[in-house]
Amino acid sequence: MGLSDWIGAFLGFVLTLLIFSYLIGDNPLFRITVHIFIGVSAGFAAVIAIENIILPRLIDPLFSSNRGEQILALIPLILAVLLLFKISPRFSFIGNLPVSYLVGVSAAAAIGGAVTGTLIPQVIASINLLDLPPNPVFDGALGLKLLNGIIILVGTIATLAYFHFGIGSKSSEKSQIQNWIEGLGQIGQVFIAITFGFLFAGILSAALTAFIGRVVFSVDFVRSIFNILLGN
Amino acid sequence: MEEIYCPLCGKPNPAENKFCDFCLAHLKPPEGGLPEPDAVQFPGIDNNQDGLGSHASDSEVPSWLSEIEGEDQGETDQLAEPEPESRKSDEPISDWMTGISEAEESDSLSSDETLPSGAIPPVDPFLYGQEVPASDNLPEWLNEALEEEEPPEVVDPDIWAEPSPHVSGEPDTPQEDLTPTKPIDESTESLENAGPLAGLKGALSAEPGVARARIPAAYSTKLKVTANQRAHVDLMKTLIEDEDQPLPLPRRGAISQQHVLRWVIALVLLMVVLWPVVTASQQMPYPSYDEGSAEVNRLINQLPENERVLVGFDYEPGLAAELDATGDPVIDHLMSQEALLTLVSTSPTGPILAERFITETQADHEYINGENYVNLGYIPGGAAGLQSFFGNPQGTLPYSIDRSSAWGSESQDALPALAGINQITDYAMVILLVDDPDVARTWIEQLGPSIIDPEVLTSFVLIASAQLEPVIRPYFESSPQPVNGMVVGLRGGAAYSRLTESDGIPREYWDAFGMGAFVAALLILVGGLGYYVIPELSSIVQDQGKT
Amino acid sequence: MRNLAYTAIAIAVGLVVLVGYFLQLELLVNLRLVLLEWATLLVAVALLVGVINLLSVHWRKSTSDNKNRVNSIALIVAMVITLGVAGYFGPTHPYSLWIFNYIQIPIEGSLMAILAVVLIYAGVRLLRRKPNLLSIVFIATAVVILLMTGPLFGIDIPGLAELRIWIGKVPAVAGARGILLGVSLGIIAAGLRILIGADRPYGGN
Repeated sequence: MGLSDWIGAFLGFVLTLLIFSYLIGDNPLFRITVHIFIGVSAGFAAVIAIENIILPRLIDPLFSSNRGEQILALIPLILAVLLLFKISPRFSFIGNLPVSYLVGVSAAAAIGGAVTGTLIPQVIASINLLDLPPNPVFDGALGLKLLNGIIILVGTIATLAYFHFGIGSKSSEKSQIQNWIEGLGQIGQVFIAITFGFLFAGILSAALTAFIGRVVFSVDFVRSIFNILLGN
Repeated sequence: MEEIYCPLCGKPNPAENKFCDFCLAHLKPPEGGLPEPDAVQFPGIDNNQDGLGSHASDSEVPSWLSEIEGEDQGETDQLAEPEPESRKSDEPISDWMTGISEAEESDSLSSDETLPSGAIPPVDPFLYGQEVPASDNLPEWLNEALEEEEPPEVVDPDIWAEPSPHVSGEPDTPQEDLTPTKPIDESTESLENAGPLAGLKGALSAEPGVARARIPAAYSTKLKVTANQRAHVDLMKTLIEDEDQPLPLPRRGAISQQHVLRWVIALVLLMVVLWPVVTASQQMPYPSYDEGSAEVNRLINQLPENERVLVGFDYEPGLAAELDATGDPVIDHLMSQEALLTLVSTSPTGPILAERFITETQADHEYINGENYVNLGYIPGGAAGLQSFFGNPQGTLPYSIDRSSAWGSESQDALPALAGINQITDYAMVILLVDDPDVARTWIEQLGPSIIDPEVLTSFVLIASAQLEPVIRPYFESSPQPVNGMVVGLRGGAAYSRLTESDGIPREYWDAFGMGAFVAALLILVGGLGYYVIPELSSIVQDQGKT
Repeated sequence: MRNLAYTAIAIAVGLVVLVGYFLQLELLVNLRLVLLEWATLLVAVALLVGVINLLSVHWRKSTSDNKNRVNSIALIVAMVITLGVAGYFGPTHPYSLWIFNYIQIPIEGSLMAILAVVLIYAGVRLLRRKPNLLSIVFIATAVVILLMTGPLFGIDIPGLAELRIWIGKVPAVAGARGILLGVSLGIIAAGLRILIGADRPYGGN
């Protein structure tokens, strides 16, 4: 371990302890550390945005030898300059033009992806759940597969019913369909609870791995200090 | 035997009695005749903050009454007499009444202030048999309910003999002694038409000091409710209002129970994780691999040498430990196949993570930037950015992160990792390291439709944080498959290490993870049950102790 | 008038991108790709705008008599150093990686790590706060998954591993698929509202 690495490990160890001090209670050192993190993170983001995108793709084409490329580069540059007005509260409205452009493009891209990437494939997958193989042999395995398919199908529909994509009826009396949907939604809640339980366990596993990562880092650092002290 | 009737309770007593045998009220007027109105003393009015307890000496007030007074001042005049009809609304209010009015206001205020949250509010005694306007403050359904209520029976004098049970459920007491009184103004003597003094003109209450006189409020006549009904309405109203209002944060001491619980959890978790890390324990067996990991392994095994692979690094530095451990055996396997890598990310810090992963975590492979891999950097714009990159990779990211031209031109060849790549399906494989469900979904949505085409040979696999398993599995379980394989969480990484028989980061973490996951599950199970059951049990024991 | 122009731009570019996604007409596809490229450039500029805004806010805080000005000063110093080092040497230079490895990852990793404690704490308190069937189902699922995610000391409890696999492949997939379909329907609805001008999150009325 070189000197710079050792200093870095010491810094990382101290920062880890400062963040862990939150477990004892919120404190000023914890808050300063979090602000340092935000500063570093924002600094990296700005550098990446400038070096990776803005300079090579927004500025450099202006100095291209190709006339058409230069003119084409002007449009995003103008939009970008307008967007910079968002920094000023007084002239913020000027930045609405590029924002409207961004919103339109993002909405369209999201719709396209949602339709072809999730909606249609997942509906097809739900339909295919009860597909029988060619020349089916009705044994226990096939029965279990069909049973699981039915559970998934019912669970999917019930979960979807829980979301209620309908227009609220003005009438105080619920129609029979609404009652059905609400009943299905109740079943859907159980499936959602299972899914969220799974998600919760997953997030906890991820956080636990991060915890282990910090413990491993800290133990390695302390071990390196002992090695130095013991002259190994 | 000659009998006299108690002016208060109306029951017969022997003529020689001074006090009523039933209610202990004076049976005869005090010596000296009736006092002048101005001379009537109402200690409770003059010094009302003392409440009832201050205006009657112990010798005059029975002990049970003192106890009642002490227990609940707010409910002492629940059964107060209705307003005498003789009093006209336009009559000038005499001084003593003004005093009462002020006293009432201060009393009600103070009682409100001292009422604990959720306690039954004091019932306005003059609502007995009175008509209550439907309040604007009440919820609509409550107002409707009030309007639909049957008009209550007219208050009967017998009610004083058979008092209604208290709203608060306090022990039955002779309510007669709580009857309000008022001094008699001889000039305006009125005929009592209700209560125990019914029929008496200018009657003076037997125990003027016991109860406070009150100015009855004038109510419009719309709805009649009993005090009990009103009390329930008020209770409901209080409960509903409480729901709307933010609860004040309870004052906590320096160290609360929650703090202690959090410290205990942190300490236990630290201890169980620390031990295997310090001892470098590698005892726990790797998990068996699932079909997702096996499929990834098969796909990488099938890759020819120097095949081009796109790798997305879309996770935050906070989860670097998990994604390093999960991705380590997979990328190690990939690099041992000498795949040529293109690194991208839709997160601004992703390119740095990618560089770090290749040059530090996989330093053994000695991959060289520009030769074995190229870091194209950051794709801004989420779904729009990915759509742009998949549709036109050269136009979206023409340069590498070090600003060198990556794709080649007429005068320069493309970097080896990008040679022959014109569209996204020219890659043999796309691997995404991801920690965010939305980012994973966006990648799948934008890339999936191209991948599921049977003529396309590109495979798409995910190396994901454990939290993503439920979100990406529906895509993996679909047919046709937009996701061809997945390695999820440290467990997935460990399973993959078992497949490739490698000992990387998963081996270093696996024992600690096993201990931590077990203790976490145990803490939630045992702690949750204990945290729920113990207070319940203690409250049951307390209830039994009371009864 | 100005608002109308914003709405017209959002609808026009949105429709070109959407139609170009579904219809493979060469002109439309090329136009769509150009529009998408410009959008990525603008997002990068927007990111920069955000960073500048963050800097200016904390600059104001650090120069005022705010009692938390130390935090703002720390943020500015950290940002300026990172900008200087990563900007001068490049974001993937060893110096930049040093900052990343020894400042950013320890802090962010530790924040994730304390989440483990917070989540266990929340799990412990859940039954107390909401003792109902759904909470019990939630906790039971979480406990089974957690137990079977780790090695469990090599102990094989009959049926538990199979239960974990079944939960992951059947009810959790059902719930997740329903949620994914719900989310995609929500995205489509929200996107279409923008494309027909019903929603104008860009400042139009």
